Amino acid sequence: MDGQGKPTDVFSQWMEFQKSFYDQWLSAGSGMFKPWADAMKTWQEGHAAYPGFDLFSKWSTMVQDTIKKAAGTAEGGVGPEVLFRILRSSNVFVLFNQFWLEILKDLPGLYQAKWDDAASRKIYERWAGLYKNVFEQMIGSPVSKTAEEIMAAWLNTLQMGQSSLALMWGPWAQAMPELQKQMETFIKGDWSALQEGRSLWQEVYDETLGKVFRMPALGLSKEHTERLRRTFDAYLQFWNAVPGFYQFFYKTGTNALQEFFDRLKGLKEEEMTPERLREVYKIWWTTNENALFDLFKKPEFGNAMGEMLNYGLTLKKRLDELTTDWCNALSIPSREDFDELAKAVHELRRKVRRQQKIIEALQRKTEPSA
Amino acid sequence: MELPFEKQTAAFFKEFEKYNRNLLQITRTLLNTEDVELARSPKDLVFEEDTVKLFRLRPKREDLCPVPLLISYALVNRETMMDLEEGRSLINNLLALGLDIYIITWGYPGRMDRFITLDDYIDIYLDDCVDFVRSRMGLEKINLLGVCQGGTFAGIYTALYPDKIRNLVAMVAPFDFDTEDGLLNVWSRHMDVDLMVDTLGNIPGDFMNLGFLMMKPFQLMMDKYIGLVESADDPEIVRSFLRMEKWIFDSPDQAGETFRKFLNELYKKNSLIKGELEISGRRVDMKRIDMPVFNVFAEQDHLVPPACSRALKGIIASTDYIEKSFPVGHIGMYVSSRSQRELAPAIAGWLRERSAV
Repeated sequence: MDGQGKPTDVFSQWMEFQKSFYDQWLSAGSGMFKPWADAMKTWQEGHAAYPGFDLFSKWSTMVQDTIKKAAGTAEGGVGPEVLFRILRSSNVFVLFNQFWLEILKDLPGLYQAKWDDAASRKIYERWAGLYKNVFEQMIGSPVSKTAEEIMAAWLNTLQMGQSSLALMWGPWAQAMPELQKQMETFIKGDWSALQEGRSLWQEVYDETLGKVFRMPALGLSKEHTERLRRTFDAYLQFWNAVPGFYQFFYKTGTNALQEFFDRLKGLKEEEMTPERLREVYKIWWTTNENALFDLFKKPEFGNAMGEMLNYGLTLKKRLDELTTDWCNALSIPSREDFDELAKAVHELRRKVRRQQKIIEALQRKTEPSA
Repeated sequence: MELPFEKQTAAFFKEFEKYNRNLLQITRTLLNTEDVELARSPKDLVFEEDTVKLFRLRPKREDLCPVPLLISYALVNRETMMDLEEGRSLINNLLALGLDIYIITWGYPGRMDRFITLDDYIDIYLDDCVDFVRSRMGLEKINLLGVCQGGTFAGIYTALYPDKIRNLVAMVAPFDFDTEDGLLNVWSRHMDVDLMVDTLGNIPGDFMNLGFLMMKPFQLMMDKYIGLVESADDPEIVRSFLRMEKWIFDSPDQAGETFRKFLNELYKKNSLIKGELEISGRRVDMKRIDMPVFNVFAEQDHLVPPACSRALKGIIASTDYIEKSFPVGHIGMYVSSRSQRELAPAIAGWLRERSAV
């Protein structure tokens, strides 16, 4: 022990260091967990922003300070400077943390820019810059040309994927506010909004999902996949056509009801109010019948009916094709097989009949005339 | 302020109560009603080919018209409408007036029959039936009566084989399909008939019926049943109603290929009246119809508007052409009391005058 009361042998010094280090940790205890406790408040109180990078960097600084103080009291061993340098290497995690926090910050922007090639490209380029920066800070030398090219290729691929998705979902996202507006108008009773909504839906569908369902498939199950896709396509098209047909009945029914009340009002004014419920009922159904008859003659009704019928038939045709597939797989005769058979039988019947006629004619020729 | 029907409300409720009582009564009546039969006039099967059957109605008189009458009904629904029930039977009335009647039953095409064509129906089945009757009676020519679509068939057939037909009677039969008056004519323009046939094969009878019901939805799907409820107490009216109901929904499917050609060529292209229709590779020239023709149509026909039937006059060469109309609808032509009184005598008289041997 020296004059200042410090132990002089290595063992005693080490023991002293351990004690001092422990005391430092103990006193730093509350400070050490403070960032975590603060972070917990985020979720407990539900309003503060997630501390993220702050939490890690505060915690890291606090750990480094604590260790530095503790190390400073020890005179032997690797020494405080070396120990501090070793501990400072944990800064690399701070760098990574910062990098990912920057990336996370961009995500809302990327979501908003998802249908905008230029905007999303800008964000990807910022990410490339951040990554390069982290890399250079960690390694200490500039990123090689090859690495930069690899990174650019990866980002291009990522962006192309996003662009493809944008092709698919962009038109829907753009049309959605209009579709919502039309739906609200329709709910309030304006059936023309339904028709407009349907047209818009069809337009967007043809540009997006419709193209996917109609594109050629590849590989072993090519034909079956194409049949399945065509069936989905037909199903969606049919259900889009159905309201287009029924809207006419709603509109006509509403108008007929108005006309029915007008007719009753007219009768009342003439003091000819129906005395029997049967008479009221007759006025009601004949008004409706006449209104529907007028509707049925309109070309637009005929078009809607034809459209719905054609989509319905197409859907049935597609389902039949799928059924034929399954029948073939299970060795069950399909509709097509029956049709082939029916055609063969039909042609055979005609052939037999022709030959019968020839035989009868020959018989008549050979019979002695009476 | 007076409410609508304030004074009548009590009476309305009473009426409504009565209607409910009738509803119970009709249920009881239906529970006690057995199945009804149509076309009960006695007849014998004399010829058959594939799904087609030819019957001879047993004559009611001995002084028969010397030239027999072959009836060709439509493929849509069945010929039983012409012999619906006692008191509402055109067949019965014609028999009573001394006609010798043969009637074709086209049958119910099944899946194996989807390739039967319009040409087959006219140039094979109808021709074979005509030949059978000619041969059986030892006559060169017979009388032919075509009803509705069967009338179109009869017209086309007569144009193809004028030497086999002595007198032609067309009843509510369409010849000109280009009209705005008939919903069938309007709707058919919007239908992809090829897609229908390729997809469905035979066209289901129910599909056809749905189309017919849609033409008068309130009357045919609601009011007539309300009318039935009001007649709940009378079992005979209920039975009569059931016979009509049975006829309406006894709808054979339509052979796919026949439907395709009939709709495309006649309804869409109107090729018969344009002289462009071909049957078995031969053009149908309606000008070859030069024998006496009697054309009967219904003034309020919603299925075959009068203009469609009356067009026959302008496309044939007959100098002995007579038209007669009735102020009834398509179905009323067979069952209305006026047609019961007047139609059969008009047809029988006209035929007898022109059937002397």
